[in-house]
Amino acid sequence: MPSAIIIGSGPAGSITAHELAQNGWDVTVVERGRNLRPGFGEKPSSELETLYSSDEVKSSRHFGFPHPNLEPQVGRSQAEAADGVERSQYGAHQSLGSAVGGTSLHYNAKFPRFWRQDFTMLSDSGPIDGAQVADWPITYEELEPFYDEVEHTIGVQGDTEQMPQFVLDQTPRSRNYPMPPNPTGYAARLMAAGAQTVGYNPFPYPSAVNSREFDGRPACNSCGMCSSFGCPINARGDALTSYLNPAVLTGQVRVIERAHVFKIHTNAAGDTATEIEYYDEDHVAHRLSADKIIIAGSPIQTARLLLLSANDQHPNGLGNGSDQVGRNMMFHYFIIGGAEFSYDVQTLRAQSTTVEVDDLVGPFTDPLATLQGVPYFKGGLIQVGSGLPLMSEAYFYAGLGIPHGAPHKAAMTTSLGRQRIGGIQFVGEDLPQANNRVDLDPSMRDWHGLPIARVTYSPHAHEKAAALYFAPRLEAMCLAAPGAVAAVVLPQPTISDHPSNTAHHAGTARMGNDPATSVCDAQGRLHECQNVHVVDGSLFPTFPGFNPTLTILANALRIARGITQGGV
Amino acid sequence: MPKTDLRRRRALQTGGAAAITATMALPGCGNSPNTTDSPVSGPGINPPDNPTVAAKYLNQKQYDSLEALLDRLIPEDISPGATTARCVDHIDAFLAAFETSPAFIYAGAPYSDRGGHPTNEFQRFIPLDKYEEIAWRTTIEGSQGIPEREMNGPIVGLQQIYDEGLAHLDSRAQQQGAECFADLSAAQRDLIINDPSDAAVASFVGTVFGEAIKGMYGAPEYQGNQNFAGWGFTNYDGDVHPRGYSDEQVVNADNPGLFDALLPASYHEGAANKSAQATKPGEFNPPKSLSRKTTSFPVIGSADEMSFLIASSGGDINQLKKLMQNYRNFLQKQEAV
Repeated sequence: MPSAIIIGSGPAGSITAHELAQNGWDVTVVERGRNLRPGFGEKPSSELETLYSSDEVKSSRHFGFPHPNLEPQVGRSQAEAADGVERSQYGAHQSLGSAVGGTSLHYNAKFPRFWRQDFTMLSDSGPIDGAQVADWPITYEELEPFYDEVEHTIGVQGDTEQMPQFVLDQTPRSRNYPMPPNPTGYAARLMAAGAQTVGYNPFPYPSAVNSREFDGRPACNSCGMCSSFGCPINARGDALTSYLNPAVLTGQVRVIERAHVFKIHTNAAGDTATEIEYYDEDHVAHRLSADKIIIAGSPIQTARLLLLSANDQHPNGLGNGSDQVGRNMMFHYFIIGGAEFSYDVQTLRAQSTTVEVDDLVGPFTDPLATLQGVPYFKGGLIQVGSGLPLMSEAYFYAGLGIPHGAPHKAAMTTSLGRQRIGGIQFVGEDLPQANNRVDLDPSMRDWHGLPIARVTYSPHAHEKAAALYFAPRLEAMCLAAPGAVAAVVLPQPTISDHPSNTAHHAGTARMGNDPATSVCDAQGRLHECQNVHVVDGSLFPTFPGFNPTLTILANALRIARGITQGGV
Repeated sequence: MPKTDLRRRRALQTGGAAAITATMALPGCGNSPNTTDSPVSGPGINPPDNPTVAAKYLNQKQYDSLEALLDRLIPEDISPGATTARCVDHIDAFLAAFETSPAFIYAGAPYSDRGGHPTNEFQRFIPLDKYEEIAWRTTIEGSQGIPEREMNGPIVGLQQIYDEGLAHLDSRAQQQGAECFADLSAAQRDLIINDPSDAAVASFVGTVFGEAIKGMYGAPEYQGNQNFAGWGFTNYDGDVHPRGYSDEQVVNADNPGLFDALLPASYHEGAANKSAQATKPGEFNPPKSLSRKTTSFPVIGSADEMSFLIASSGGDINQLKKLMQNYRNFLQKQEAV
C-alpha cells in the first residue's frame, strides 16, 4: 500500500488526504494546531459538534490561531530590510489559523474561480519591471473539472443565470452551482444599486455556505458572524467537514494534532525524502517516513519548512537550487470603502458577503500607471456589503484615536462605523516580487526553539498605481448608493508600505516548467526532490484578485489525482 | 418571529439596569462589599451542567481602584457604562483565569440561551490543551523564567501589570491627599488618567481600556456586559444562534429607507437582473472634480482586517493605535481636503 505524510490539515492538505485515501493510500496528516470539532474522526460530518460560537471575546483571544507568545509572526518592509532593520512588525498579523481543518474553520467561504486570463498573464499582457510575472504551467481548462468537482462536493451557492456574461466567458463551466443564492443583505442591496448606477454589474457571490440543507448539514441562518468565527450550526462548507473527516472515517487516514514538522530529511544523494521530523507538544522529536511527503502548510509555513530542511545536498533549503523558495510572497491588498447612511442598514444580518462585482478585474492601461513605469495593471473583485461586529467596532474607534470616556460612548451610540456604513472591500492583485520573501528570522524563536518565519514585503508600483486608479471609482460607487450621504475609501497600498492584514496568501514555492525560475513542477513536485510535493497556495505563480481557497482546493485535487492515477 | 423581538427584549432588560445604576454609588476604598452578586437577568437562567464559576484575583482595594478607573474609561451617562456592565468583574475573572477549571479563557459553545436554545452552553468554559495553557499562563502570569515561555525574552504578565498599575494610581491619589484612587472624584480621576506626562498611567490605561471593551461589549458569560449593558444602547443583537434571521429580516430594513423601491431584488428570489446580460465590464470614469463627500467623521473598517489588528495588538489600545497609525494619518488628510 503506498503511503504519504501530509504536513498541514487545511484545505490543500485535507483534500489531498481525501483523494489519496479514496485510492487506497495509507495517509498520516501532521497538524500543528488542535482539533476544535468534537466527534472528528468518529462521526459523520453532519453530526460533528463545534467549539466555535458567535463569541467575539473568544475570537479575539486567538482561538484556532497560533498564539503570538509561542509562535509570533514578524515582518518588515523592503526599505527597512535595505536599511538593515531586522523586523518592525511583531504579533499575530498574517498568522493563518492553526487547527485541524486549518483556516477553513473560520474563513468566509467566498468561492469565486480565477479567470481564464489569469493563467496566461505573461503571454497575454507581458512582463512588468521589478516583478516576476509568469504564466501558470496549467490552463484554466485543465483546472475546470476540479473546480466543478469541488463546488459540488463542498456545496457552493451561486447562480449562473444571474452572473454577467463577461464573467461566465472568463470562467467557462459545465453546469450551474449546486445551490441557489442565500437572501441578499439589505446593505448589500443598497451598495449593489450604487454599483449599477455607475454601470457595474453586481451578481450573487458564490460561497461555500448552504442556502438549503446540503450533505446533511443545515441551511445558513444569516447570522452575519462569519469572518474569524467558526460556524456554530455547521452550515458552512469547509475542508474538515467535506474532506478530512470523511477521509479519516475511511480508516486510511490518521491525524496527529499539535505536531510541528520542522525538518524533511533526504537520502545521501538529496533526490529523495526519507523522513520527516516533528515535535510534539512536550517538545519531544519524532520521525515518520512514507513514500510521498506532501507539504500543505500555507505559503509562509511551507517556505519556512523548506528553509529549515537545509542539508548538505540542499544548502539553501530543500529544493531551493533556484533561490526562489520563500520569494514571490504575495498578499492581496484590500481597498476598504463605505457609504454612510443616516439610518441603521443592518450590515450584520446576512452571510459575510452576498454580492460580488467583477467590473474592476482588468487588465487596464492608464496614464497614471504609465507614469510610474507600469505598462498595465490588474485589479480584482469587489466584495459588497459586510459589517463589523460590535466589539470590533469599539476597537476600531479606539485604534483610530477616539479617546476613552465620553467620546467613546458617543461614537458607540452614533455607531457610524457599524450600523450606518455599508461596506465594500476591493481585493487587489499583488504582483510577485523577488524581494517580497519569507526567510528565517536571525534570532527570534518559537516555543520549540525553532527559528520563526520573517516576512519582508512592500507593494510594487503596480499595486500603488492600481489603488490610485480604483479608489475614486470605488468612492463614486459608494456615493451612488441610494440614500448615501457620504463615502470614504482606504487605498491600502498607498497608505502603508506593509501588507494588508489579510488571510489571502500565495507564492513562496511557485510552480513552473523551468527549474531555474521555479521551485515545483506543474504537479507540485520539487524539481530537486522527486517524492516531495507542495500542494497549497505556495504554488501560485501569480495571485489574481479573487478569494483563493476554491483554487487552492481545486489545484490540490488536481495534483492529488495526478499522484494516484498518473504515478507521478 | 417579530422582527424586533430580540431588540425589544434587550431594551427591557437594559432599561431595568439603568434604574439600578442610578442608585449605585461607586464603591469606596476597600470597605464596601463587592457588587458581584448574580446579575438581575442574563446568563444563569438556564445553566448547563457544571457551569464554570469565575474566580477572583484582585483584593478589595485593587478591585475598587480598577472599578474607579473603568468608570472613567466607559462612563455612565444617558446609557450604561462599565459600572453597570461590571467590566471590573470581567477583568478580575480574566486575571484569575487559572483559578478555575477549565480555565476562564474561552466560553463554551455553540449556543447561549439568547437565540432560542434551551440551555446556555457558553457558561461551561472550554478546557485548554497544553499549548493554550502555556500561552495564556504566559500572558496572565508572565514568563517567570520558564524557558518555553520566554524564547524571545521575558514577558511581564497581566497580573503584575495590574498590580503595579493599580498601585501607581493609588500613589497618584495619595499625592492629592486621598487614601486611594477610588476616593477621588470623577474629575480628579480624569486628570490623572489623561495626564500626558505620566507614561506609566498611559500604558496601563491602554491595557485596561482594551480589556474593558471586551467586558463591555463581549458575551456576558465572561462576567462583563451584565444586564446586556453593552448591547442595549448600541442596538446590538449579540449572538443569535440557533434562531438566526429570517429571509425578510435579511433582505429588508426594519425601518424602511426612502429609496428601497430602487434596490435590486434579493438574489435568492432568482429574479433576472440586468447584470446577467452584460457582455463586458462596465466602464466608469469619475468626473475630474468628483463632488466628493467624505464622511464628516471618517470611519470604516472591515471585519477581516479588524480581527487581525485586534489579535496583533493583544487587545492593548496603545498597540492598536500604533498599528493603525497609517489609517489615522490618511483619514486626517482626507478630512482636511
